Amino acid sequence: MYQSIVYKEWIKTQKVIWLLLAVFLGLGIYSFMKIAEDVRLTGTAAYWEAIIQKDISLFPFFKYAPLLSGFLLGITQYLPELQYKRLKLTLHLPLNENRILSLMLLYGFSVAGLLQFLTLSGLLLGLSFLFTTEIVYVVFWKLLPWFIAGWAAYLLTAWVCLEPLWKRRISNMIAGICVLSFFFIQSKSGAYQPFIPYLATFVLIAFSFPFYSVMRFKEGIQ
Amino acid sequence: MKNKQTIYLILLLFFTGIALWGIPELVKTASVSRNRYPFVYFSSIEKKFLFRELDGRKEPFHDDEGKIYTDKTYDAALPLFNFRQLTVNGEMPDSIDGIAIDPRLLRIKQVNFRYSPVEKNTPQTGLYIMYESLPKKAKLESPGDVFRLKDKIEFVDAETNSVNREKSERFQSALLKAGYVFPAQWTYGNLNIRKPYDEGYFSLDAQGELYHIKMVNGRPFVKNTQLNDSIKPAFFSMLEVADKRFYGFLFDKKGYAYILEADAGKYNALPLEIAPFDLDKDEWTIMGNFLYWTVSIRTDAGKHFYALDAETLKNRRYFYQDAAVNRWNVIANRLFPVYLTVKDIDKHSEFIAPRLHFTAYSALWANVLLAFLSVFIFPHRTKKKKIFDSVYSLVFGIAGTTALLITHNS
Amino acid sequence: MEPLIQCEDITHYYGNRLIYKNLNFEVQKGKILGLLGKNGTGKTTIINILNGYLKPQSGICRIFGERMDKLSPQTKGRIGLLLEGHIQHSYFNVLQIERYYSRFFPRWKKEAYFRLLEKLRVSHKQKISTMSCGQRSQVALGLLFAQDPDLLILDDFSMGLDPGYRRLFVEYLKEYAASEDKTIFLTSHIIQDMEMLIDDCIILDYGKILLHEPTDYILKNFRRFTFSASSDAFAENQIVRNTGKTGNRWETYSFASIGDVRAVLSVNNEISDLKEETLSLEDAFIGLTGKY
Repeated sequence: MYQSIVYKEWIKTQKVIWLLLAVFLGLGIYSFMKIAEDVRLTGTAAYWEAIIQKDISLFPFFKYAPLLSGFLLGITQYLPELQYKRLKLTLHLPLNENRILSLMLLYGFSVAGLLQFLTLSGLLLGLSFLFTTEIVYVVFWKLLPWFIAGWAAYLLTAWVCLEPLWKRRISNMIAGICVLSFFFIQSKSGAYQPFIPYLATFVLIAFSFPFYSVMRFKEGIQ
Repeated sequence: MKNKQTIYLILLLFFTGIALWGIPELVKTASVSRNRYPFVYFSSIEKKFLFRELDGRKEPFHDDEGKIYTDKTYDAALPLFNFRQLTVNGEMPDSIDGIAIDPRLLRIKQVNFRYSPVEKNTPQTGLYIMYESLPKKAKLESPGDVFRLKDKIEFVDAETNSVNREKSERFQSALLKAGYVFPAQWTYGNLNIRKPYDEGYFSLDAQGELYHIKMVNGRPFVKNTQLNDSIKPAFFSMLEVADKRFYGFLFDKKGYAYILEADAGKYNALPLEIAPFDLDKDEWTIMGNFLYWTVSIRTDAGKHFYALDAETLKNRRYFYQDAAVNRWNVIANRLFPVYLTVKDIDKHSEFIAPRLHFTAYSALWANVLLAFLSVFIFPHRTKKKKIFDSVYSLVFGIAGTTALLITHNS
Repeated sequence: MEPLIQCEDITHYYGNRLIYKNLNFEVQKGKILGLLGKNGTGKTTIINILNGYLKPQSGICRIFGERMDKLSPQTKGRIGLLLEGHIQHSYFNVLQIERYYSRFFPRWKKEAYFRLLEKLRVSHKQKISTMSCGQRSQVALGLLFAQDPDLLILDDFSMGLDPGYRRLFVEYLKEYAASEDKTIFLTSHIIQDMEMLIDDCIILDYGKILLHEPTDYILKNFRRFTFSASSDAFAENQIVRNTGKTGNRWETYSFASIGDVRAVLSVNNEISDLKEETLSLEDAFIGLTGKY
């Protein structure tokens, strides 16, 4: 029975997933090409020094890419449920409603998670051939909040989409944008270290938000 | 139902958190008033601190006793600050306090230094660059590698991304021979190829001994500074002064400051005669000439000014000024007993972390008012819910009431 | 015998507008009950309340004995639901949607679905979003039959359908209900289809139930009476309803016999040429709810 839920979510999202995979792969390849070119132009040692002294960003394209991927995934999954109140069909299935929603959320979360994990691993692995460990760490700490933002964006999108009342959707959106801004504060690599546990905790808590929206939906709030 | 209440509470707290950050942030942006702190310099002629107010008033020049100066008298009272201008105008005195003024001396004795807690509270990469301290050409060159210094010292060649075993072992044995005990606690230097000269790094070993490490003619130079046991170094900031009198500023755990002087192959920590300060909160500026160093220390409460003798670093004059009250503080003390920031607004730290700020007890009255008003804002609630709303508003103030309004189920 | 659907004292408002107050009704097993009413009388609202998509101001409904907001998954499996507008997961194609639903219902009858679809002559790869209204309704019906539920709840199944499809729907439903002893609860504002389909009839008016009787009873006993009269107005009472003038003739509606009607109308009035007519269900509906 639960396979069917996954099947439905896959049918909804498959095009977007392939698209995101292609985009991330393309961005990754392009980023490494750019790094190689910059290294050629400035010289390897000077490039290393620029990383250490000036904290240059090696993967600027991946700043907002995870966020957008989470958002896109959320929209593709939950916008159809919201149109014509299709959520009613989903809630009518002969399954525990909380389990249905949990599965839908886990699906998107896992897909987003896999995408972020593969991308981040790929980027860092590629880097490790060119740069020493500390530099890989520097890049890791810079990228980490941006990738966690992808997860957060997914859950917040689900929360906003499933909310039945327009007024509340807007306040949810504003709050969501505020919290997402916390993931993109301009700072040195590594500055986010003390904040990461808070961001991760937020993502876990945000898992509960869509359930509230569905509870409101079931009350028929217009 | 129980689930619903739990998630409602979580959402309520979430919105409250956002409001606790967002509303004060908006108010602050709207109420920001530029704080024009005056420019302060110690006059070697008047032996007083001279102020130049930057808030656009008619008579901006005065001293620490309130006496007003004109443009001309102000410039004349600060010959060692304005020496370039005065020399051009031919108005430079020949001597001050019986010491003849040598233009060359003026230049090389200039010390300009700034310390902000951000310098200390910032993420470190763990990688450093060892420049050649005695370069063949006059300027510094990139060595082509980087090094790490933690459990041992290791040089990594950039081109090949591999460890330079031979160089690493050379330095490692030099460190061990000098008595360095791993792991290193911290290492500070100046990672900037554009500095006038290189004096390597100062590193604190596991036992709290401060070592000077540099590369001279390709060979490792490691020496224990052998500081007094009473000094427990907490932070070091390198400064390349023109006369090479000292390496930089050393701060110890008690908040005292020293300059680390080079003294015929030995190291001398000369204390600055100023009160201990907080490395994590206070900001420092030193403007020094060959007679006096004007030291300004900015704390949350206000600014401390010291005029130190340039040779002995003993204090000659002290002045304190309360911090200017800005519009934001006035508002916050009335409305927000507590507010949340994520980025350090006072620039004490580069690290991002949530910080709760307490303003004043007077702001609690706003909470009390809201607790009372909340009864009327939400008219159709049950008694139990009204009590909850009131208490919540009392605890979280404006942020709490806003969150209640947003999550309100009519 | 416990009724399959039971609604007790349902009261609901939209803002300040009263939808119904203390609405009560039951649906017995094996019956086809039609909830008829004009647009805006709250038909879809009751469907939403029944399925737990709307919390009424007060009152509860029960399906198979369970509260409507706490229906167990097993009970949900016994209910076939058709939402207004034949809402479905239109990003699926014909094949995918069958595959999707089949795994939820152990009694799934694949053949029932595909048999219905054969008539449509659509390819299995055709996306539901590209189908016409009528075709979508067939898909929806096919899915319902394949599910083989004990209770069907259909909200305005005829919405947007051509007469052909509407007739098809009605015929299939009738056959399905009869052959398997199923219970159907449906709503509609298109009355003409209902006559041959529903056993029992609830006529909903603004705020309350006007009538709850078997269809047969209404068709046999509810009559239109036309007459001439010189008066300008006739008082409303229990016996005659919606008395109004059309051109020169007056008309009124009643369950009572012609004699009783004459007696009531003649009070303080001169009437003549009283004639009675039998009615279709649609006429009866208009007679009960009025033309406006």
